[in-house]
Amino acid sequence: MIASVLLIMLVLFLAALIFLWARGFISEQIEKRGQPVDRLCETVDFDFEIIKASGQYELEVRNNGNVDIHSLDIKKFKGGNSEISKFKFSVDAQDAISGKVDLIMEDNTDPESVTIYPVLLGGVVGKSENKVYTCFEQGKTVQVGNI
Amino acid sequence: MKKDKKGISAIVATVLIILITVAAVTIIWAAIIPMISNQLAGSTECFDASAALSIVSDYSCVNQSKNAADANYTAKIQVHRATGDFDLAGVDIQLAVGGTTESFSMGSTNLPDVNGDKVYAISYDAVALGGNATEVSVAAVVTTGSTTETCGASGMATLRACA
Repeated sequence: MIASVLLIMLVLFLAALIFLWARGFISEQIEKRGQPVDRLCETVDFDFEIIKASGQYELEVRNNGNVDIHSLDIKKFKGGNSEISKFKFSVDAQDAISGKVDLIMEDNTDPESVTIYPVLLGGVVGKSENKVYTCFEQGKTVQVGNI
Repeated sequence: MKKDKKGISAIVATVLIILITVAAVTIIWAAIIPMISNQLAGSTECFDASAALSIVSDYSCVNQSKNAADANYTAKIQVHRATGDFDLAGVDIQLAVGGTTESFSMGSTNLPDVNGDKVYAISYDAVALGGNATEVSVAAVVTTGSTTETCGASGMATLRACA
């Protein structure tokens, strides 16, 4: 009887060890509103406008969807090179925001095109922490020459 | 002669064997797992990195000198980095020149961002290497723990002449 109990305890102990070890191979999952954040990305609906006035760029973002946009990643592209800047533009659902942005590239030139990616904030599954997730599939591009 | 020496009971023996087994498993676990984890982390990082880096043909080309005596040729290679869970420490570009493959390290500072692109200019001695670069591939250098590892190269992409 005691041997059986000890055997079961041993099995449970080993199972717990294997579980903890195997958990490291499962990639971290981010959820928002009870669903994976990458799926929520598909419902993000936004558009933006860039205005150049007296040498400075101003970005206006309208969030037409029902998901809050935590921030924006802006990819500036020129001659095959890209630079990514992170902007703390938080746009609530059905809201709009505008502000000045620095779109000048590291070589002090204007980019050829700009792509804006919405960034969502979600909770890490199994942990009490939040993490941002960039919706790369939802990027929208504008040619700077057309501004 | 008295025979009053008693051995340990079966239950105690079983308990001891189980305890020894658990202790042995724990010690082996603690010693072997970090070793296996490092190896696996390296291979999974390389798996992600190799899938994430690719050559983009838009800005990739090779300058074919009109002067046959001019040994210095330049290749411009556009590398795209997709998303992936790895720590990129460098980029190696491999040019197929004259039947051999030459590797050029692009250093560890001018790296493409996640979902970004970089164009690298590579000068090479076409005469010494025996011809012009015809194909190119890219390999990621990743950091795993305290070591860096050069991953397998992407598939070869054909290089066109620069306009």
